[in-house]
Amino acid sequence: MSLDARRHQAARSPQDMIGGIAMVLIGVFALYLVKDLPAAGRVGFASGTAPRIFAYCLIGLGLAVTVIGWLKEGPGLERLSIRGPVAILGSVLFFAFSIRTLGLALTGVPMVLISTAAAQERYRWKEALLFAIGITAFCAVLFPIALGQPIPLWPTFLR
Amino acid sequence: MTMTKRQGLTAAAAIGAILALGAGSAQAQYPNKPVTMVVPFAAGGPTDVVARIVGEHMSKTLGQPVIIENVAGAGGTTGITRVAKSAPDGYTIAMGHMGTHGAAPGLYPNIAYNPQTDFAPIGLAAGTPIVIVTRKDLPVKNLQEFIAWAQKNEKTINNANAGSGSVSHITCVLLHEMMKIDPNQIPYRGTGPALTDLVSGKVDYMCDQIVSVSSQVKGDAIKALAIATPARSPSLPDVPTTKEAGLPAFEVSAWNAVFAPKGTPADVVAKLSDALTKAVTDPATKKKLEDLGGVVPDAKGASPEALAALVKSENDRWIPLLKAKVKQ
Amino acid sequence: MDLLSNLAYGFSIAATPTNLMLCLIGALVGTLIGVLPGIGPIATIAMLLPITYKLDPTGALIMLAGIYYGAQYGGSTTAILVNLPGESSSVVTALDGHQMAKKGRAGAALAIAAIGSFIAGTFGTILVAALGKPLTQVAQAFGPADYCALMVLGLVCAVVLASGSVLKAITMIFLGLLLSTIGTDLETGEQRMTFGMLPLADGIEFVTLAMGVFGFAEILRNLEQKQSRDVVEQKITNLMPTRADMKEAAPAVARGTLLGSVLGILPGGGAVLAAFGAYTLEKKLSKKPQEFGKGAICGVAGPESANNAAAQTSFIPLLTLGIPPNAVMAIMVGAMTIHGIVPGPQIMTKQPDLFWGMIASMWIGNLMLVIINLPMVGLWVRLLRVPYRMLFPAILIFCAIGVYSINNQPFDVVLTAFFGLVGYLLLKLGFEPAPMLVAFVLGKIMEEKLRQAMLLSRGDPMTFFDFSRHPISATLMIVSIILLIVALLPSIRRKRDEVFVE
Repeated sequence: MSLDARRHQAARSPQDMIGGIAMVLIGVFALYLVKDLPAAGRVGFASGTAPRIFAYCLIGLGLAVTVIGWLKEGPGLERLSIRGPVAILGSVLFFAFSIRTLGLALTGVPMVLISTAAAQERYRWKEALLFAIGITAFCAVLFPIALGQPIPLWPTFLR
Repeated sequence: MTMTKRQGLTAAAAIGAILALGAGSAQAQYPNKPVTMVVPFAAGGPTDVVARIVGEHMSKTLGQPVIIENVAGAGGTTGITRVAKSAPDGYTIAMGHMGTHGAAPGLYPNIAYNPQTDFAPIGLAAGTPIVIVTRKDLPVKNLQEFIAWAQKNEKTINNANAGSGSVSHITCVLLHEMMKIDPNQIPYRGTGPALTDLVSGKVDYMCDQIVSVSSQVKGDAIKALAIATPARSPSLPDVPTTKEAGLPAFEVSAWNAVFAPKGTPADVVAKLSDALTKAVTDPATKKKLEDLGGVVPDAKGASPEALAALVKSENDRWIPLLKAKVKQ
Repeated sequence: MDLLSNLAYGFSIAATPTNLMLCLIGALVGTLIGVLPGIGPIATIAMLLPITYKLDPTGALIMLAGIYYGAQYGGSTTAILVNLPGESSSVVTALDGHQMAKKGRAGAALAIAAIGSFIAGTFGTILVAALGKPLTQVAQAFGPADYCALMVLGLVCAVVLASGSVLKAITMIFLGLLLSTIGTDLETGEQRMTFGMLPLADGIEFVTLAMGVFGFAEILRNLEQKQSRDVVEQKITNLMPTRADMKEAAPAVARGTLLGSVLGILPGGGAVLAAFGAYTLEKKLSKKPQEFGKGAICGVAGPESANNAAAQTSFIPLLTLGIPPNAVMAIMVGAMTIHGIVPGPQIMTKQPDLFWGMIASMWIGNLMLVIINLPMVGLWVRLLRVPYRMLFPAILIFCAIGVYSINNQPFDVVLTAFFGLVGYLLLKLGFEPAPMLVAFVLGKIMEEKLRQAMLLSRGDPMTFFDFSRHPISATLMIVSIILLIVALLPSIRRKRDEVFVE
């Protein structure tokens, strides 16, 4: 995944080049999404007007960032790590998909265990497990019980 | 935010004990656990207040707390969709509303429920009359003058509403239909900002629920022209009804009613209906609702049958009108 | 004289043991939920409403108001300690507050935030009591065109929130504006860029965006940096601000208080501008603008004071007109109506005990928060010593629960994870998230007000520059244009680069 700056000799700042292009793409995608909305209404503004203006400006600015990245010396691309984002975002997604069915009691522990895997050091599974149980219990007492938040605590088969 | 190992262990033991308790509870008579009433709007709004007042009394009859859960979004349809899809066991019910069960199919083509077939109606909780209010310096004294003024100045007048699909929007759509005009409608994000601009005279008039506007009317910040119910309201006794003021066809109310998902057992529906009827006929609860300007139904009006009929007549009234008049 | 006797009357109501207790409970609960990322005052007040049924209306409102202030204080604490802004105003606090924490000065940042907020809260309370009625006129003078112009000015100023490239900051502003248009169109009900997904129909929740691009992205970055994993790299220096700190921050507190008091009166989003308007002001006036974004104490003191002053004066529309200016106050109105009080223009004459009791309790609430929070500074700072491998999973689960509880919607949690990835990539590409978040908040209000102004003027864009009909709008627009030209003129470019860039 790591893009080496040396391979992009032509661009002085690969970071800005890529960033600018990304913004242009976001702008184009937004224009595609609003293509069916009216661009102008009877008083000038309609539902599609503001998104279009913002998208065009974003495309223009993205191009400017790209061009400057091409011409001006700047930072290269940083390494993207895989492990951290996968573990962190994976644990959050796990929470999202299981909270309704498994409840906080059965979601918290695996979630904490998954996210702990993001830390690059040696995995201390005993500590992680104890900590996961502790923090889950703490959240269970705090949110649904003490603060009365309507978060499912128990899995559906126990409710 | 963090705890020591020992605290963690103690807590873990505690949670284990709670788990065991949860698993042990057997299936008993309904209701044996709290009932969740989904309010499809934000806390503090008119529907929320009605739900909380009624829910508090219902929990006395049911012997279990009625917990209010606010699931706002998409004109109330997010929360109602949730209830329509939940288990029909009587533990998840909804405080529906004129918008979600009367008008929504005319506003949202992709709506995921049918107000008439996807629910077991429980009963009507309260009707909230709609009031036509104007800025205080508008040069009209009554509804007749207002209609003449609006028809004459159709191109220059400004009607405020609380956003597309809101009660204030669709009721004024109906009013305009009856006045045969198509004026400029200014949408706001909620009743509050719309009312602010009405008080300062930046817009000319709006239609909204009595509870949202009565104190501003009493404080002379805005003028009320007519109330769209058959009888005058005790909270604004000087305001004539639309019938008295000469527009009898404009009779509309933002009612709130309790619904359970389709397939809820008949005995559960009966228990919920009984609890609701007891709530709305209780003098203290009735007074609370009436103090807010609500029209509280009698035992017959709060029955499941009456609600089913109401939903049907409201659907017949709103869906064709909104499909024709409101562009989606 | 009238004012003094009224205030004395108010204190006689608010200072009963029961009400003081309720105020304390409210402030404590508020601080707790404010510190927990994601859980906002709205969800909590809604859940606590049933408790208030048993109380008398004044007591109930005093407690709810305590939660409201407490949540604001608590939110800044999380923003400073772990870079997690729970609401738009804390975004600004996080910028320099968290940098101070990283330098071992979390104690000073937290303390100055508490002290600044207290001073601002005191001033704001006096203002509400003394000039509430006449100040309503200020709010009434602002129409849609004027609010729109105010938001434009805010966006021009938002550039200053970035400490890197100006061009990239403007790019992020437009990305934020574009994100703000996602959701149901207010006027026609059309779905815009929602992919047909119901949970997106009301647009993106601010908290999901902020937790993602700030909180999760920060965790991902911290995990990458092996050496400096722990939040506090350096030794924690003294907990309280030094005399030099206080001297430096005092004018910032004063300016922030004034700016926040004025902006807070405007119900159509003025309070949103308070915090980062103050930040912009401080950065412009500072002799050391290069320190902003790296832990400048004025970058914490100014916005925090402004934020709290605005929190006080934003009560004015509610107390004088009975119209709630934001979601928290809408719930308070709901609480009042459950008690049979429909707040309106007559509340001051018809319910004087409620009115003056509330105002007195505002100040008591602020005082309690200082008393609660200053001793807690040490505790919070010690929290930063927890090894990061334990701190970050805890933050994650708190965030997930908090985001879920906004609408009880798992989709919001998924969206937060997505924005976490986006925030991580933005960091890698050298884009700063703060201008995007601010533009996201302002963009929503700006489009709404713009559409209203255009509808009211029947499509005449010159309405914004019409001095005879909308003098406020015209003035604000011209100021914005001048600021923009100043920012873009090449002849003064070098000077601007000194101001805006490091």
